[in-house]
Amino acid sequence: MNMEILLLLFPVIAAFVIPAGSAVKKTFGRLPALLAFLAGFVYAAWLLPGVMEAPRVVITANWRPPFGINFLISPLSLGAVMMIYAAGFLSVLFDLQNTEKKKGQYYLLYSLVITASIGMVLTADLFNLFVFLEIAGIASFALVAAGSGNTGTASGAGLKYLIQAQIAGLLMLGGIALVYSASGVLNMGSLSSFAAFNPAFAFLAGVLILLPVLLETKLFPFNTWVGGAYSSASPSFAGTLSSVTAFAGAVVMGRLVLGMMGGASAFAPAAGKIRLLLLVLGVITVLYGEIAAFREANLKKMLGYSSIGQMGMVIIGFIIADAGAVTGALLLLASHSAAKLLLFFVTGFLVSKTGTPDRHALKGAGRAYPFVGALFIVGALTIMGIPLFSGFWGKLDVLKGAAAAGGPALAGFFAILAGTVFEGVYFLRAGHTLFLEGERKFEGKPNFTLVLTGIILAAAVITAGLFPQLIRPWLESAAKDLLSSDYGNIILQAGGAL
Amino acid sequence: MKKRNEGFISLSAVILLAALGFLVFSALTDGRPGLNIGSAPLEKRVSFRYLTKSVNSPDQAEIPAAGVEFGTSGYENGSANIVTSIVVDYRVLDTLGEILVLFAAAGGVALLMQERNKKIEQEASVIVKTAVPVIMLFALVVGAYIVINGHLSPGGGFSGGAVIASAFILQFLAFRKNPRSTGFKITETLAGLAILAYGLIGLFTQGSLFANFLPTGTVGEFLSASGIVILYTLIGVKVAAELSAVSGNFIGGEE
Amino acid sequence: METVLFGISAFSLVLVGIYGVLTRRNIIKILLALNILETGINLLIVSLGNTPGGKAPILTGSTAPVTPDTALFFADPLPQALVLTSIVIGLGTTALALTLTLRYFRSRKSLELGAEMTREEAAE
Repeated sequence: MNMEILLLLFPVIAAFVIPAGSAVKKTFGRLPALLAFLAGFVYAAWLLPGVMEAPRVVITANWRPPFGINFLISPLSLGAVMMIYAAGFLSVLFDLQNTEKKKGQYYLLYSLVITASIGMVLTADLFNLFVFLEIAGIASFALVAAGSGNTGTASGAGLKYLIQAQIAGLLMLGGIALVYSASGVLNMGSLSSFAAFNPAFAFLAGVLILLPVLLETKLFPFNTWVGGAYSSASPSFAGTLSSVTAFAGAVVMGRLVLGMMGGASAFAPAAGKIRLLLLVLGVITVLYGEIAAFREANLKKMLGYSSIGQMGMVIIGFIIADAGAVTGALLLLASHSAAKLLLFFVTGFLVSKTGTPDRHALKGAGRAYPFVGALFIVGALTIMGIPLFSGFWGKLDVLKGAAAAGGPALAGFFAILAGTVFEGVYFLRAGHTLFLEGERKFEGKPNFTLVLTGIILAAAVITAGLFPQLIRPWLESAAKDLLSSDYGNIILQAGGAL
Repeated sequence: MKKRNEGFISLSAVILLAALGFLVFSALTDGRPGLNIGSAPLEKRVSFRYLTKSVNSPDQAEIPAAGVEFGTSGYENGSANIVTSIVVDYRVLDTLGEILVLFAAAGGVALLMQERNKKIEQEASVIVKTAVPVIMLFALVVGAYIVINGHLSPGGGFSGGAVIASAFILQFLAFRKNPRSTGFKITETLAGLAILAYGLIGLFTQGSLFANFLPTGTVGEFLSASGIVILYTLIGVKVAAELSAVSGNFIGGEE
Repeated sequence: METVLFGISAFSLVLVGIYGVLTRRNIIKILLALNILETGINLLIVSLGNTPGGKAPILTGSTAPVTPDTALFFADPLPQALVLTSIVIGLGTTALALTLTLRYFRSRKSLELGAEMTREEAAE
């Protein structure tokens, strides 16, 4: 039975009931969203042990692949689904005690972002991937523009994001059309073991298809939207941009580059060139992101640029394409999601107390709220990759893989090290401001929801840091799934001949 | 100074685009071995099986030689309009995604357009006010026809829903009256939940989401093609409600 | 031959659209260019499904039965279905973009991205 499709539907149901509910009560929407995300997380966790044994293919409308649209539930995609649901649940939980009550439509759009991210990660059809990317995009533009702060700035940031994402999406559509014209199929599984394309054509189509994913994961030069979007979005949505959409984008990029454009695929003649291009972009991204974060005074923008740097590191890990590096990249990706979400929650709370996102205004906030300050430090240390926190193992594995691979990957090695140095500087600088500087009077206590979500996230990264063996099995099977050349076969075995 | 700057930007954009165009052209006409644009003739594409309605046919390796004929029945999908069969049956999840896109856009507009237009506009003239109800009637009928004939002729829920919405837009513009948007919201919600319910019935009775559980009927008859009429009607209603709400948000006016 | 002609015109629309987005500063003009780009891509998709002299993929009373041989006389229906979805996505995006533009204009009193904040705004 194809019941696993329900994974995709829980937030859709929540999104559909919200308009009617909001006609009754303006802020209706938190409860359906919370319930939907919790249900999704529990269901995904229940499915996980079975899927670790054998991945499953879910078909829709009873048509076999590659004619119908199908979804692949594998260790990688199911794990990603769990993380997305968890991030969404924690974000809505955090918002419960936020000072500005959000309207019902906010939760509608938020549920759609979660739905689209889950769909992106699970789907095995190129056009379906495009549709989910567009859903996530449209909902994100609106949520960015609805964020805190000046209306004009927020709308401008939303517009810039919209224009860039639309161009990327339309060019991907062009690439999909070209691929269809050359191969006659739209299924990612079929394409991963298909007759080879012409090398120049494969490069063109491959790059076109990757554009929106590159924009979503904030790779250079497609990340000029990031600064404005992060500073305008509300703190929990900025956290979502890092932990959910960028996370899903990175997983999709891994699936496309390593799975659909792998060894025996239609894109094989250009796979080497595409990977080299991504490696170069990844290296530039790491340096660009970390240097920009270093120079930034706006705390939210700083965290956004830091996300850019981290995503660059993850891409480098994926490109190296050996089991150790990919495992490290996945762990880095996961700990970045958790830590960034934590940092954004803390930042949101602090900004609501000081009224401005400028980091100089936070002097002494760490001493006034020691627990919140400690949460900030936990998040910062995870991103920096200090031992005892989960980010350490991730970065270490990627560095080991880069050093072992040699050649162009060594540029990645040095870029990651340089990036880490910068991270250390700006995070420690922020910590210094929080704890060791100034005397400023703060009133009130930390919100209960902040404390609750903060404890959950901090516990996650610390546990994974102290006992990496707990999540190694999942990471390794996810990496194996990503690198396996069986991707096409798994999908097509549910189908048959073209 | 500004003019030179603009000219410079335009010129560099032209050069950039010319270079890109040249690169794309050379990639598409590259002579090296391997599939290139247009390499897949119709018989090798997935559409071939959509056209001959033989995706899940018993002998899946070969396409049955017996053809699909208008007026006969017993096929896996009963729609005479093959594009509709793809949109609503074979690749129905793309359509679900499309519904969610429109839903997100309408929700975004509703979230962001909070202040109503307070401008005083010119009243519509007598001619407009007399003609609009008549035109509205035509628009509603034509729109409904397009929606429910999606499986027999070009059309379907999206285009029909847009025509129906245009009737409501005319009403807003002529009479400056924004019918209570609560009605639209509730319609939208119910239609959306009904679409999901249809899909879930397919999931629980036939084994996968949106599977056909109604008989496929005779190709060309109105009551054919399983749930296509139902789905397209629900989609048409939802799209009409959403587009009317969006336009209502833009035009403003009193509640 | 027609396919090549369609392809070239689609590609020119795409180039015009990208040119417009890159060089224009007025938001409305940028959105118009985006729409032109979208039209170009849609045209490209449909043209790749063109069968020379093909019939529309709709069965009517006068159509011969569709067998594996006669099916080749139809135009490809899949790109048409893709374009259907793409047009709706473009509609949603344009509606949202216009909303954002309206909000931007009401606040900034200018239709150029990157305009300075007005004094009323900065006092908010």
